[in-house]
Amino acid sequence: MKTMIVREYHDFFLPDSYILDLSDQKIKGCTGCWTCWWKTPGRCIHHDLDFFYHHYITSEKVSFYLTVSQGFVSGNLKTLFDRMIPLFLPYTNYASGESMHDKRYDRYPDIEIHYYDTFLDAAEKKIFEDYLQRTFYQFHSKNISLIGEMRDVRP
Amino acid sequence: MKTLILNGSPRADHGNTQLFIDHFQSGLTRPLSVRYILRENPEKLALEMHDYDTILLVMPLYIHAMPGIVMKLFEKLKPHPTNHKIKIGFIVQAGFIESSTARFLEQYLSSLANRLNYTYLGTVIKGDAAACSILPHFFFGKLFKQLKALGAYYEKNGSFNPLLVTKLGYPVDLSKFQVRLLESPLVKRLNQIGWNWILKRNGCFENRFDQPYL
Ligand SMILES: Cc1cc2nc3c(=O)[nH]c(=O)nc-3n(C[C@H](O)[C@H](O)[C@H](O)COP(=O)(O)O)c2cc1C
Repeated sequence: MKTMIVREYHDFFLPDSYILDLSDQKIKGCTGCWTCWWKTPGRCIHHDLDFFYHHYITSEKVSFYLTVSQGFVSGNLKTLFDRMIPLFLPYTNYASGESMHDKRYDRYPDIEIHYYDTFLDAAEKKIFEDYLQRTFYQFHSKNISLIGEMRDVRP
Repeated sequence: MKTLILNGSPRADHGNTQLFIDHFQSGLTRPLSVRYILRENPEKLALEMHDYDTILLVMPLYIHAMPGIVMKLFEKLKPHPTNHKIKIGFIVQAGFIESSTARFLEQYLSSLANRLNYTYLGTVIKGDAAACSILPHFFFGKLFKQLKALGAYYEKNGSFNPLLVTKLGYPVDLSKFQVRLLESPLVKRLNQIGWNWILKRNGCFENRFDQPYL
């Protein structure tokens, strides 16, 4: 099974898997220019994520290892999410009862999210988990799982 | 009452967020200062926010939450070192029609204010706003009037008018009837006309379904 790892912590790797290490790569920001929808369909003006896009879309599973920042996803990870808009079409469908962008690719990977649990309370944790569930549901991933890891798990 | 408006759009002063700010400001007798998160050092801006009584952060919805640049600023925010209680309110505008699309962001913003010991003024959410700066102004006349009224009320009361917040947030969810209408072949076609026109104008209509990263 082809797997990709996106990590903000942990240093292990899987043989033959592509790793996006967010702890040492700052993702270039989405400029909101819409070139990826209007001018070069599906293609971002930046090229720092070309490998990521390829591996994301061709993997069966993507495992995320995330740190919690100010009670939410980090700014760098949020920037990565913003930059994922080229993987979808501008057209919107409402079949699920809410607005959702159409797929650009035939299939999207299953998602497994490990996070380093530093929440102040259960309510913060719920917002974080609900947000990630929603994001990957809207990114057309069928199976999404979240696993909180406690402090002593961190290397 | 010293208020700072922050524009959280990666398009800074030439996007829809700026239009929202301009129309909000048109309801004030004295314009408020505006800073653009895109052009700021987040660490420095986070410190300078402590010099204000109220922060109004206006931003687009990006992937069901704040744009990355706004989260990078949030990461640097700290509670005020003295007892000074900063107030913070948010105006979020989005492309999707239903305002419930921003519900997790709204919950997070309220929890963030709590984390920072700021007073939370609430979050105004307006969907269906992506074409604000593309279509002629008269298409959005009602919205701009509501934003002006929101500004006037804010200047007088230091808060968001709850009635306007409800009106701007409509519809919260799509009704079954709306879904059926939006999914009908005719409306679907009409909705695609705008996109297809832009794609044709840019000479890439034939490439609209490209899968470049396979
Ligand atoms: C990367 C990206 C992600 C977006 N994600 C959402 C979204 O999740 N939900 C939504 O309703 N609109 C979304 N939008 C649409 C914007 O919120 C909308 O176009 C907004 O008016 C842009 O404001 P601006 O011109 O001030 O940047 C997204 C736009 C971009 C560029």
